Amino acid sequence: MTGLIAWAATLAVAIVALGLMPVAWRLVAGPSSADRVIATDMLGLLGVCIAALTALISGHVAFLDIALGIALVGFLAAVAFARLLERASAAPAPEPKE
Amino acid sequence: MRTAIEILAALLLVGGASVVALSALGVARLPDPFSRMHAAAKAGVAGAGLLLLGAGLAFGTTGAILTAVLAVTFLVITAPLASHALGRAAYVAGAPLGSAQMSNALAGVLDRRAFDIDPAPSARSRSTKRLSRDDESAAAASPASQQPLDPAGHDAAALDPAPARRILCCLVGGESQRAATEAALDLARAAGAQVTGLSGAGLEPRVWRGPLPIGGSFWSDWMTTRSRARIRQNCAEALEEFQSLAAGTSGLDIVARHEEPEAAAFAQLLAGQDLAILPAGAGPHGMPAEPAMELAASLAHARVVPVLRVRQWPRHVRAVLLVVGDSPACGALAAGLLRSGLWAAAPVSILPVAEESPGAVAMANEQAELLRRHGRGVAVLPALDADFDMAVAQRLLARFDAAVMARLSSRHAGMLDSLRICAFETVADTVPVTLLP
Repeated sequence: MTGLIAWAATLAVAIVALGLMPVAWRLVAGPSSADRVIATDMLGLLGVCIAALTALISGHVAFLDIALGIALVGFLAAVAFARLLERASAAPAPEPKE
Repeated sequence: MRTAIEILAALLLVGGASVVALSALGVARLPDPFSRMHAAAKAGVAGAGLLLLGAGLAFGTTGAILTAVLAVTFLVITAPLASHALGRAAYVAGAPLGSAQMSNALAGVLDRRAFDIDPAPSARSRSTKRLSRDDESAAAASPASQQPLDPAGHDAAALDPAPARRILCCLVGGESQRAATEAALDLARAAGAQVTGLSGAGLEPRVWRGPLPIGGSFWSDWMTTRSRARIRQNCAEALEEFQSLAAGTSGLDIVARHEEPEAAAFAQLLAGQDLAILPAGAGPHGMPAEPAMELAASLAHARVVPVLRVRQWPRHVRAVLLVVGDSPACGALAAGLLRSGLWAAAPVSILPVAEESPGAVAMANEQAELLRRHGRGVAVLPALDADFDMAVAQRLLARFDAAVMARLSSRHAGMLDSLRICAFETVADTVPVTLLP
C-alpha cells in the first residue's frame, strides 16, 4: 500500500461522507414515503462505497466481501420496501368468504 | 507497470467517489421522487461501481479483483430491477409526478392513490400558500369533475345539459388562435358565461440554476430563455387580439390574465372551469405540433376539464360526428356531449373506428341508443377499417362541422407507427371543431 493509494482513499472517503449529508436530509425531510425509500436505497450504495474504502484504509480484503453483502441486502431491502408501499396503497382486500 | 495501475486505481477511487457524491446531491435536490430515483439508480451505481473497481485494483490480488467485479456485476444487474419496483410502487402510492403530470402515460393503466401514505406537512403548506382564493374553489370542484363518467348513462340527472358557466380560453398564439378566441366569445354570449383569457399556458416558472456560467445547464438555461421570449411574444399578440375582440361585445364578464404556473398549479387553475378552449395545432412550447403532441391532447389526457379544440369556428353547426374507438373513455362520449349542452339541434352521426378490436361497434350502438332516448337524431355509420382510404374518409368527414372524440391521436411512440394512418388524427385535421369531453 503506497502513499498514493492511501491518499486517494482518504480523499474518496471524505467525498463520500460529504454525499451522506444530502441523502440523510432527504431521508428525514421526505416528503413522500417513496422519497424516503429512495434515500434508504442510496444510503445502501454509499455504504457499499464506504465498505470498499475501509478495506483499502485498514488493509483488510475482507471488507470488500462486506461491500458485496451490503449490495445484496440493499437490493432485497429496496424490493421489500417497494412491495410494502404497493400493498399499503392498494385497496384493502375483501374478507374471505366462509 | 505497478505505478500505472496505482495511478489508475487512485483515479477510479476519487472519480467514483465524486460521481456518488453528485448522485447523492441529485437525490436531495431533484424536484420529484421519480427524478430522484433516476439519480440514485444510474449515477449511484456508476459511481459505486467505479469505486469498487478502484479498490479491487488497489489491492491487486486476484481475490480482491474478483470480489470487486462480482459486486459491480451484482449492482448493475439489480439496480434496474430495484428501481423499477420502487418506481411502480411510488406511482401506485400516489407520489407527486412533478412535470410529468400533464402527460401521464400510465393514467388508466395502473391504479393510483390520490394521496401518498405519508403526505408531509411541509408539502401541504407550500401548495396551499401558492393557491389564491379562486384556486381553492377550483380545487374543491375538481374531485367531482374527475369522477369517471357513467358510460351507460343510467344516471339520468347527470346527463342534463349544463351550459358552461366559466369558460377558459387559452391564448397561446398560432394560426387558429383567432378562431378559438371567437369561439370562446360566441359561446359565452350564448350561455352568459364568464370568459377567462389565459395566456402563458405551457410556460414553466423560471428556475435558478446556480451562479456560474459553466456546463450544459447554463446553455439549456440560455435556450429556454430564448424560447420563453418567443412564447411570450406569441402570448402578447394573442392577448391583444383577445382584448380587441372582447372590446366589441358588451355585457360579458371577461377576465384576461397572464400566468406562468407550474404544471400542478395549472391543473388546479383549469379544474374550476367548465370548458377549456384551445386553438388547434398549438404545441406545449408555442410551436406548431402534431395532434398527438398538442396542448389540447395533453389537457384532454389529464381529464380535468372538457376541451374544445378549434381549427375554424363555424357559425352554424349542421352535423356532429361521434368518433368511437375501442378505449373505455370512448364509451362516455355521448354522455359528455349531452352534458356539455353544445349543438343541441344538430343531428349526430356515430363513426366506429375498429382499429384493433370489434368492441367499438357495440359501444357505438349503445351510445346511439342513449342519444335516441334523449331525443337526438342519430345515425350509425359503417365502421372505419384500419387501412381506410384517406381521400374517401376526408370526403365523408367534410359533411361534419364538429366532432366528439376521446383523444386526438391513437399513435404510440415508435418508428414504424408513424407510417400508419390514424383515424383520430384524420378527423382532428379535417373537422373544424373537436370536443374532448
